[in-house]
Amino acid sequence: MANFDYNMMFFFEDSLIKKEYSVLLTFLVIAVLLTIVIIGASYFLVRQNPDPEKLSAYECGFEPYEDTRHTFDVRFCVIAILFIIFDIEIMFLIPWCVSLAKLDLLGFWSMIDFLFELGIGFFYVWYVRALDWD
Amino acid sequence: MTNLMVNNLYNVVSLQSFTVFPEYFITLSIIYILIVITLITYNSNGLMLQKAVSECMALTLFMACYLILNDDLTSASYFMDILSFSNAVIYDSLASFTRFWLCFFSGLYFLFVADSLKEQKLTSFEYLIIILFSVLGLLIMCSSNDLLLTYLAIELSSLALYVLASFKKTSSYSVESGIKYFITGAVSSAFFLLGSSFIYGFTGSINFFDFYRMYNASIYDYVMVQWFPGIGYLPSFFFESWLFSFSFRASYARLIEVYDLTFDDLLFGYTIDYFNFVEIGLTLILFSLFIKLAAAPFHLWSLDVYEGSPTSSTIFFAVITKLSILVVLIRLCHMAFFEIKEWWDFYFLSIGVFSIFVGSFGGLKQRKLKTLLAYSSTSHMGYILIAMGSDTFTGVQMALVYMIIYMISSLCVWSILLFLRLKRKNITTKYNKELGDLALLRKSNIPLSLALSLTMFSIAGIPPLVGFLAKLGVFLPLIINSYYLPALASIVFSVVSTFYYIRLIKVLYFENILVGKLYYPINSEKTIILSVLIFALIFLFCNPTLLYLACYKISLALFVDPVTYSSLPIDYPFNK
Repeated sequence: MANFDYNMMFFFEDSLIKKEYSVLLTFLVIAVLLTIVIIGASYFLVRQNPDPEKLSAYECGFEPYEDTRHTFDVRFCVIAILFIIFDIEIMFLIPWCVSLAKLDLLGFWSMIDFLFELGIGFFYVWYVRALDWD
Repeated sequence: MTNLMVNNLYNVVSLQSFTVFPEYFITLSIIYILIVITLITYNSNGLMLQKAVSECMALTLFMACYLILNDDLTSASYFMDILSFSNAVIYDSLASFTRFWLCFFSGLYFLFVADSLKEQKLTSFEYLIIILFSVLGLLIMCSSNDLLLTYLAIELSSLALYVLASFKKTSSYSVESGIKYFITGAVSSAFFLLGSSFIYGFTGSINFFDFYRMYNASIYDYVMVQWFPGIGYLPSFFFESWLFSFSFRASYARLIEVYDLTFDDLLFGYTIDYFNFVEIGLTLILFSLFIKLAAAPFHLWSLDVYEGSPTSSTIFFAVITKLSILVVLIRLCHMAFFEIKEWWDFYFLSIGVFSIFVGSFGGLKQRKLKTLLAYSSTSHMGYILIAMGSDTFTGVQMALVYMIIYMISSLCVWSILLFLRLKRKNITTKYNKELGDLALLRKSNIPLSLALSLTMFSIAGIPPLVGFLAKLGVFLPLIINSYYLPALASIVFSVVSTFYYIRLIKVLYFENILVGKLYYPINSEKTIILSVLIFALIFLFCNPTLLYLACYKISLALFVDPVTYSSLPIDYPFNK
């Protein structure tokens, strides 16, 4: 209680909030101003002559053969999600490995249980052929 | 296996696990069912096992109910709750009661849904595994004493539900409702975390009992002190003066209040603004939970999500998720932050009355049955919130009673909606029931129309059914505490909402058309369960004593001093 100084919160000139947050206010103002300057300069100072030839797709000077959009293959998304999950598992494994000497048997078996549960998930993903890349 | 000696090298499985036996059981059953059914299904046989798996899960949940009943320290929980897992998990009568009802209604849900999964073309068994994960999350939520564990449980449950809402990949309504549910749920979880971080920042703790003790420390609180080996704990008045406990409370309460003093020379003096960040944090957490409950003005997601999701998912959202969120609200407001009830009862009352208003007037023009029931569930949540918002323990009791009765009657209505399968040649498009589809049910299925009308009367609050007692019980604590205006407004709006409930009965019985829709007959297992539920609606009007008594005991037992598991001097680790 003795360390808590009411003056730090009361007067805005010396206030703690001003010290901590005035930098953020500066950042915000600069970000907004810079955005306005860039977009405004690009919109007002550029001579604009739109032409259908300029706006069409580019394929080495020729007319495009076919539409470049195709259906997104969901295998990529599945692999990305699985990567995140097993990466986080590794992230939990690393401090456990380092501090294993100081943990008792409960700490050991807790991590083994965690690995077991993620192993079940891995088994399921493998068996369901979600890892096949064909 | 369980070794109570101080030598904790062998302390692998500690006795505190018994508080979470239902969660362990359901986790093991999820793992087991997942492995076994994966090995069966993903062979070349191509068996569709969803009906069998659903009934197996119902059996699992009923066994979990038996487990909860077996562990119920009914006589002891008048004076003792047990905190375990370093004060994160609490085992008291509220946790026991709500976990039982959660497992019971989830088991009934699986029995109802077993047949209709094939008709909705949800033939993967993973659908049921995800529901069981959500039930696990809801179970953990019911017995959590910690802001962090509550958040984890909310996320576990909600992530499973987002997938459930969008499970039908061929229907764009379903996918769209999944995305809406996900975004709304993620934003509400963000509010929850922001509120928790405010509360943690200004109090230094995330434990609900610590919040209670922050306002209400007593000289009988035990303090950890190594006095002699073997006797670890002393009441605080043995080694400090008893004024210590008062200054403890005073200093904590002072730390969370921030005064902002500004000099304003127009008014010749200082003005004081009063910020209490714990109250702001609590408000954010409350808003997060209101969003998840679909209370107005945060109810807009539920209309589209309930309409677009497959009906078996919608039943789970509408019936079963609400109980755990009510438990979290009770623990936060009536246990942890009860001292500042003048702050939060305003929010409960205003959002409750507004929910009843929106739920009553919004359902008037609805012809789609699922959206109608979504508005109706918004108004029910409003009734529960106003019961909680009256500052009495009767309010907590009546909120729990109302929630149980809401779950029974909602399960009846939604399951009748689910049972009615159109007898058509090929059902290729998504087909949600409208008001006119029930038209000639009185000719084709007389008992079912009787069941539906009885349920509608109960939900509307007509006397010889238990809905009347539920609504009466909700208005009673308000009037006891002289909150006359919210009570009057709620009663008037509840009369408005009876219109669309009675309109359903009118369509069933008094519609003068000659051609109606043809439905398949319903098999006998489901009719037996439905009849038991309808009987419960009538029986509980005549004899609601057991339900009232259980909820009364819970509302009284909320303030019991807990027994922290590690506070028993048996296995305190002295040589750490």
